[in-house]
Amino acid sequence: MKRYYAQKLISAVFVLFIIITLNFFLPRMMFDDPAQPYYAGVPEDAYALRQEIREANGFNDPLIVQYGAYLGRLFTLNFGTSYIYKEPVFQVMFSRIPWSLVITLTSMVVSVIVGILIGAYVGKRREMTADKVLLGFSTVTTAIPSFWLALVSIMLLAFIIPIFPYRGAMTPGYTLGFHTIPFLVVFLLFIAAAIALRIILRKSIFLFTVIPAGLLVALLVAVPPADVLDVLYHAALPLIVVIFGSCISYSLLVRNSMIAVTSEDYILTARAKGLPPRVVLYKHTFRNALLPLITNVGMSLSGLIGGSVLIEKIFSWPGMGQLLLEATNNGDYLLSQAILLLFAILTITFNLITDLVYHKFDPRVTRA
Amino acid sequence: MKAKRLLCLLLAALMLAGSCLLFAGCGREEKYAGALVIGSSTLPKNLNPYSSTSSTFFVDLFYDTLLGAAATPVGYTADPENFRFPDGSTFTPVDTSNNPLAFTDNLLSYEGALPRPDGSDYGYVYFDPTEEQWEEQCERESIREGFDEVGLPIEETHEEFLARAEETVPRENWMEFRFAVRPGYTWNDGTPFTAEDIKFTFDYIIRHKAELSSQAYFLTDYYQSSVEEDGDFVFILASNNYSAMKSICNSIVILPQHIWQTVRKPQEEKNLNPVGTGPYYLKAEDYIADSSITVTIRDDYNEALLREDFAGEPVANISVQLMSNLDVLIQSLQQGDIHMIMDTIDTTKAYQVMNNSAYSNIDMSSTRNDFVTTLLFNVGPYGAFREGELNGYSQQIREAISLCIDQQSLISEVLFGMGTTVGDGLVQSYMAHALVDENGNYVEHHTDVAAANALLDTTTYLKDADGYRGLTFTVLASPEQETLVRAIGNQLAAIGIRLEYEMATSTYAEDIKQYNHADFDMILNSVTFGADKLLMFSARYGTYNTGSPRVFNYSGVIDEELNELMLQMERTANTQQQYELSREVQARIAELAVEIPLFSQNMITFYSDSVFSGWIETEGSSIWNGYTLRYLKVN
Repeated sequence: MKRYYAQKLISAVFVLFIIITLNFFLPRMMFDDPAQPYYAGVPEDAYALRQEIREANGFNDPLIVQYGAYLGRLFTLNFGTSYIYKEPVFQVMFSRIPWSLVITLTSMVVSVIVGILIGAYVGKRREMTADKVLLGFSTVTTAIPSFWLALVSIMLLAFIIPIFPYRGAMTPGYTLGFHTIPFLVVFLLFIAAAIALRIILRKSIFLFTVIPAGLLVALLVAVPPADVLDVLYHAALPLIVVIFGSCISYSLLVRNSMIAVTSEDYILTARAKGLPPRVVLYKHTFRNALLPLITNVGMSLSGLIGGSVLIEKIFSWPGMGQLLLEATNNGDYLLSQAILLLFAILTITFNLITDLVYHKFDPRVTRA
Repeated sequence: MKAKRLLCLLLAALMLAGSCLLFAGCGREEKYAGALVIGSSTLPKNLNPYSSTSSTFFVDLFYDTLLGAAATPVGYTADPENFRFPDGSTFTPVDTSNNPLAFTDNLLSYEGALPRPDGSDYGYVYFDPTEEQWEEQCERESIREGFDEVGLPIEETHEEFLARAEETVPRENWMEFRFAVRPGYTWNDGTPFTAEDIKFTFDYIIRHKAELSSQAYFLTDYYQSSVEEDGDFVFILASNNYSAMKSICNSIVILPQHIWQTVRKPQEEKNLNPVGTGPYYLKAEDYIADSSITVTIRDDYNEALLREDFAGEPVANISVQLMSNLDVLIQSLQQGDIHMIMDTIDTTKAYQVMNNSAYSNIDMSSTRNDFVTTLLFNVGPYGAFREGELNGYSQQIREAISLCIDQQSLISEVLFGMGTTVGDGLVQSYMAHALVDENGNYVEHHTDVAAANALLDTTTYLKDADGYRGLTFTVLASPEQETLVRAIGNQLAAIGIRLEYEMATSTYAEDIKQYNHADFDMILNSVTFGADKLLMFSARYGTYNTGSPRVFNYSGVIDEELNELMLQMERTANTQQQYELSREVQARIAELAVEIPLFSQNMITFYSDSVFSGWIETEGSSIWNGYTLRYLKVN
């Protein structure tokens, strides 16, 4: 068992090292002169000025020295200063993550819950009306590009029937209020409670439920209610668009999985043993049918931080997707490098977690 | 059972609709009601006047340059009653069609520092730096720091430095400029604007030249400055580079010394509360990163600087709000949520909107542009159009293509009419149909397909049964330009020439410099022309001091005679002389590169005058520049 964990961990670290190295060398391969983005407005013949810029930013050092310095900076979370924002890259990135999470996390939680409910309901009604409706819907949602759906939803629900706002995360002129001390107090209390429950009742489930719940409560305490409502009001339309597509896809996944599991021999055995249909459904069929969903959700978790580039662009939502687009368009490669590295770290981490959680649900994995 | 399900569905639908309506009530009160709202797909991340990620729009609102500058209003007629400024000065721009450096010649002394008229138009004097009092020339910073005039390191002794300095620093025609500062002129925080601020700005840029490199470049020839006892500001250029003086006056934004003297990292420190001499200012709470920037008109802004015939309430607040998608921007303008779009609109989108009655409340500003789209031929060592190629008929084929081009049709088909015809300014002298009239003036292009066919019939490329001559050329262009390539191809079919579009995989200049490229015959280029679209201004040709071609010199032209002509033109103070030299430059370029002008695409912006009016269109500029917005008033 320990060997399995160690193997997974070593391979994750190795992949991460490769990605970090690529992340350093790729921008240097993209430009003839990697200092190019720093020369904004400096003509080609201003050699002295360009030389000073190169020197000031360490581009005159040998490549291996630059690489060493890059690794050193990574360990101190120093990703440099963003060329377009004139702020530390770390600060710029982390100011955007919460905004992306509002859309991605909310939509994922809602989509997974709704997806499981619909999928389970339809899974046991194969070839019936509900099943046909779901399949029809899935064809439609697969065929409709999300940006088109976003534009149509803006047209319908923001312009023709002006119910929702269509741009930004808050009403223009307002910023999100945040009270740090109440946030920390409430969140730490919940963490303490989760640890206490884990120790007293010896159930790990408290760590996974109480802490996220604590984060939510702490956020609600720390942010003024008017701001929470304003953000939710502005998030409504992007959420509708994202949830519309993803909940159908999760429903279909659970539905297919349910159908596949139902035809397995162990389900037949369970029925033959005379177990009640409800027990067969929830304890044997449903639990096993969730395995593909866990993999899928695990893979999608890394995308939570990344946000949705298209949706964020159309709704002018200040998330990570927009940030990556801006960084790429403006040649701010320190920023894009850091964002891609963050995505890579998250992907590797969530894949690792998925592997480990999967083992809990399906012990055959480690045995294999 | 069915009835129960239907009831459930109905209840769910009602709940959903109820939630939506409830949610609709969650909207907050608009903070900027009554403001002029501008939608933009990008917002500046920084408002420092010298930040490379700032925006000239905001710089125009907050700051003024040394002299101030103004664009020419569309439809301008030399009527001083219509365009007189409140300080009494009359707007008398130089005729841009005769001035190759027009964009720097609109020096307009309506605010800030005024050039002294002593001695000459712009108050400069020449002197010889080898005179004793100018010996300290050898102490110039670039020399002290070990770089020569082109920025290459000098590895010599101090004496050799001095010797080199005498060689590299021009010995004569240094220029001294003297400016008077308008009394009573203040920064938006109430501090008086003085010559000390101007001197501080120049010295500050030199001190931070690595960070403020694009501004420091304008001061390459700057030697020193001083504040005189009478409050005048004097600065000296260590060369006779007249155009450098103009760039300094028009491009360097003067900084308030009392604010900036503590700023150590001008590129990194965010300035969210800019202090300037412009008409608007920003309160710190009105900068919402990646959402909106809202500015407020100064209470103490000199009313005399507003337009004389200005009536009604000026625009108190301008709010620029981020909307990343163009369709959303247009829809928002149509709904009245915003009053203007800050982005440039392409002609296809403009045509769709203007021909849709649903958008009848949207107005379009379509102004002439400085840029002319041209078809540039590959005359490089691998190009089909180099001398002697195409069986020796290169010249005839080039001329036939030129004769065949119908600019008006291209403008109709590709730009939906939103463009301007241009002259044949860049074709070779052997093309008898083009160039000049009997008075020696450049003329507009004319089309003669019959003459083109007749010319080709003199070559070995005769038409076969299907009407083609066995001549097929490849045009490398971006996907957005494919329609244009196809339209040109349709026209060339009339003379039996086939054109094939090839998608450019990169827009990076080095990749498509035709001089080194074997795989295509033509590219689409963009060249700066004068206001009358007949004379090309030289900015994109020639080489740097090091001999390498300039960035947009797609032909890779390297020619000493051309460089010499361009230098002369850029350094001449006399407008008429500049014009004459510009013609020589153009003729020389036409001999070195083969380029057929096609049209000039208009610059298009959408706006609505439902709430604000007084919009002013300016030649070669979008309607949303900070200057023209000063003329708006609430209806």
